[in-house]
Amino acid sequence: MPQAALHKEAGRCPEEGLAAARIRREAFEWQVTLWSGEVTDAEQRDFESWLRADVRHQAAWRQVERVGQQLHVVPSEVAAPVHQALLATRGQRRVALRSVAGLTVAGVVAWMVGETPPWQIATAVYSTGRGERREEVLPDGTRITLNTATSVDLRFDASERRIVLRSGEIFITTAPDRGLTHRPFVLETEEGRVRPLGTRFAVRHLGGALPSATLVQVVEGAVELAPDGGSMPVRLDAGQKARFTRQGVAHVLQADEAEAAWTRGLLVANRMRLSDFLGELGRYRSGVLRCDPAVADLVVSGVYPLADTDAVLVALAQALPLRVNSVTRYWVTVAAK
Amino acid sequence: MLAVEAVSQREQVGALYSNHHGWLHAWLRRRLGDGHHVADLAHDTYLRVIISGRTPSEQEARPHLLQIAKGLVIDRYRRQVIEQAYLEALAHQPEPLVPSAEEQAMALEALMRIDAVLGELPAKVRNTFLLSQFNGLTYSEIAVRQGIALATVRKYMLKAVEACFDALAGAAR
Repeated sequence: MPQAALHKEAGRCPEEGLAAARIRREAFEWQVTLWSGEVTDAEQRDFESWLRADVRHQAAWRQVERVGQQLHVVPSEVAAPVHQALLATRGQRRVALRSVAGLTVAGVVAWMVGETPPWQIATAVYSTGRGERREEVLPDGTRITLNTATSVDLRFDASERRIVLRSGEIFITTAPDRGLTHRPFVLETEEGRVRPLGTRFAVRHLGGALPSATLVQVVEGAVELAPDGGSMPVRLDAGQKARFTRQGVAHVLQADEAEAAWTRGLLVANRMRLSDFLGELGRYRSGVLRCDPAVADLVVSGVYPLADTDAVLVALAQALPLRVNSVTRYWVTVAAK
Repeated sequence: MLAVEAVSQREQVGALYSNHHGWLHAWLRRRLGDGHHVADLAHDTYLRVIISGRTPSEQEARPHLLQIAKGLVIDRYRRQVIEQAYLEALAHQPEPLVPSAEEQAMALEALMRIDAVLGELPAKVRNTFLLSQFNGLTYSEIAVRQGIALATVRKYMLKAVEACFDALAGAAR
């Protein structure tokens, strides 16, 4: 019995590999036949009997079919002109480096010349749970990325484009409104308004702070901060960040690019205090993540994937003299080893 | 990419950063002009290095960074071109087609992946495949239109199906 099993095992690799390759090839050929647009009844029957003949045929066919479905995620009437247009640009790959200039925003709103189409008037609510991240393209081409535990309302009407940040953090890449009437863009929080001037920026609502505050970081372009209390608006340029409450804007600081790494699913720590690091990591987890004061001042550096915060904790405990105590997954304390 | 590796890699990447970041940034700015996400591209280049877990030696540092940066620029450029084509196609539909933001994002991802596959195919194969899959022509119609034999149409289609499978089967799950 063991001998027979061994024998079978030994014979498996090359032969079965060959068989699998042959079957896959057959599945490809059937796909080609079925896509001809002129399948005969005989072909259809042959295909069906091939499929029935072997479970491995069915498995191979399912895979081929799935690839076919992926090709048609986009309806043909849209995909056809897209690929047609792309054919014309294919040779341009080589000159891409020289011709990126001018293309950055042109793409986003090419058809918006003219009146604001009715479907551009939109209201919506977007939200994410803890540890979730979500990207959306708004009707005007503006891109937003919602960080963990975030809720925003979208209110686009004929006169303005307004986003209300209820909680959490959002990264915005604005697109110019190419409608006849240029609709201003405004982001609103409990503390006031942020008006972008063609830009990429992040806004985080610090609901837990006292008083509650809004943190704004500008990556590109500039924004204007208008606290609700009525103090003078403050302009914030690329590379700067500032925190404001209803009463006014606190001093403007140099922004750290790493702070926007969450838009790529990463937490970048550049000589961060452990307690700050865990505070940041805790935003992406449910439950309590506590830092023992004895190790609060340890220094953490590195790039950490936000998708799996448990793995980050494990890695942290390996790299630093730390112990991770989990009472449950929702009650975790990081302490000295 | 585990944090431990990132930590142990830290000094190497630190050196790579302090010795070459200014140069890379200047190179990108020279090529792309101000703005155009130059700082972002430089940053992403370093992120790629970190994520790859392989830090180049001092001699190959600049060629290595440049290779990554060029790839990123081309990806970004291609993405913009595809996005523009997609939005224009949407806008030109006889019936107004209003996919949700989510559907649009998915559609763009799909178009990007297909575009990448098509980019690797010889022009004749690519055209045949496009006519069949997106313009709905039968193989006989394609043969006439391209001035090729029916058997050649099938040969090209097989080649395209194989390429799609190799590129997309992983993503299908």
